[in-house]
Amino acid sequence: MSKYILKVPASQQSQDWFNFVNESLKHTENIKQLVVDFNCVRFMETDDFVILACLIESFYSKDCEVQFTGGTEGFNHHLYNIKFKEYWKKGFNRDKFTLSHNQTTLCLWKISQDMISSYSNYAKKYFERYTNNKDLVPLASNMDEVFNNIFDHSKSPVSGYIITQYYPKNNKISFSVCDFGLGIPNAIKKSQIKDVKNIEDWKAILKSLEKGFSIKSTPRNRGFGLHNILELTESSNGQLCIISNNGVVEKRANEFYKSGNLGYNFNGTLVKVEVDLNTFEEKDETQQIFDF
Amino acid sequence: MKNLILKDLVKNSSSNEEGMVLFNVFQEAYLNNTQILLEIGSDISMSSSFLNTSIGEFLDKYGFLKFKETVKIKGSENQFNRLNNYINKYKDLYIA
Repeated sequence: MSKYILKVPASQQSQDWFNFVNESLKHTENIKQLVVDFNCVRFMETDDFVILACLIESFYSKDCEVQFTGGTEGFNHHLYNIKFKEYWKKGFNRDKFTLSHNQTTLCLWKISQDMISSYSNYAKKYFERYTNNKDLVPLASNMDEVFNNIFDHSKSPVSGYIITQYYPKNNKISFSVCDFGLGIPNAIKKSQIKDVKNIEDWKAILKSLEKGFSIKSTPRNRGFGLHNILELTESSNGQLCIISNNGVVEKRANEFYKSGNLGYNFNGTLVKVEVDLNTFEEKDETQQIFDF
Repeated sequence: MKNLILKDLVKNSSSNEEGMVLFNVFQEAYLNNTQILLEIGSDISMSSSFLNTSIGEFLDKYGFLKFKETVKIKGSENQFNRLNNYINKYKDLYIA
């Protein structure tokens, strides 16, 4: 039986992670058994989890059995809480919502068109418990924006993944979404838009955040989706990070962009959004009649 | 005036497909010269895809004034402000 061992890196450096992904993706063919080795891992961020999930999915989607080994007791307890390993177990219903064992983290979740609104609505209701009557509708709608961006533009060969985490100490929520699709810069360069064929990848990502900019992958795209996420970042004292192809863009509220070339390529898109719940409006249950 | 509740009309408020359902409701009302009072719950999130295919499509086809004549909203101020913000952005970019 052809076996491949995926040695998950201990490093928290982006370059190490994407080199690990790129190297691993060369070996997805004709593998019957994938062993995901956590022996070097002490800690993983939400974006590491979704990248790893997409990578495992790249093997799994080719009829590969997935096993896990290694990792500290604490780390494996966290994997258990977010049901990370469940996704690749026989009999696990991947299309149905499942509760995590952890109060502050939603389970790893595979993105599909059937689950978009149910995930974002569930995330909203789940985290409302911590918010002291805040209106989390903007959080939910911005998750939908990221999901729809994947479905409209990414052409990802494997499912994307999301994890959402609440940080009680500073009352923040962050969600990380990854797909292994075209990538934002490649999608822009392949589009019908003029003068973008040779644009640098980080500039392409910046362009994608502009209000009204769209490559019109579907007839109704109007260029609001990623711009809405940027607006939420600004209004919520938040942070946004997009890594796609060779580009990276980071934006903290009220600060200038940090952007540039990565120096290595990532065939896909990683979006990480962090919002400060202290900035969200109070829930408004009143009913009035409004004219536009 | 016809009173309608959004969650009874559409399965979700995130997809293009369900946006088209809402657009058809708006269009039918407009063509029949009926005003709609659309109730939107305070906990409903609406993606830009959904809004593009519903409100955006109506604005493209019939214009803002016809939309204003056809649709009123019943709901929270937060929800109305989000919709109003979307319409203003859409008008600025796409409606002459």
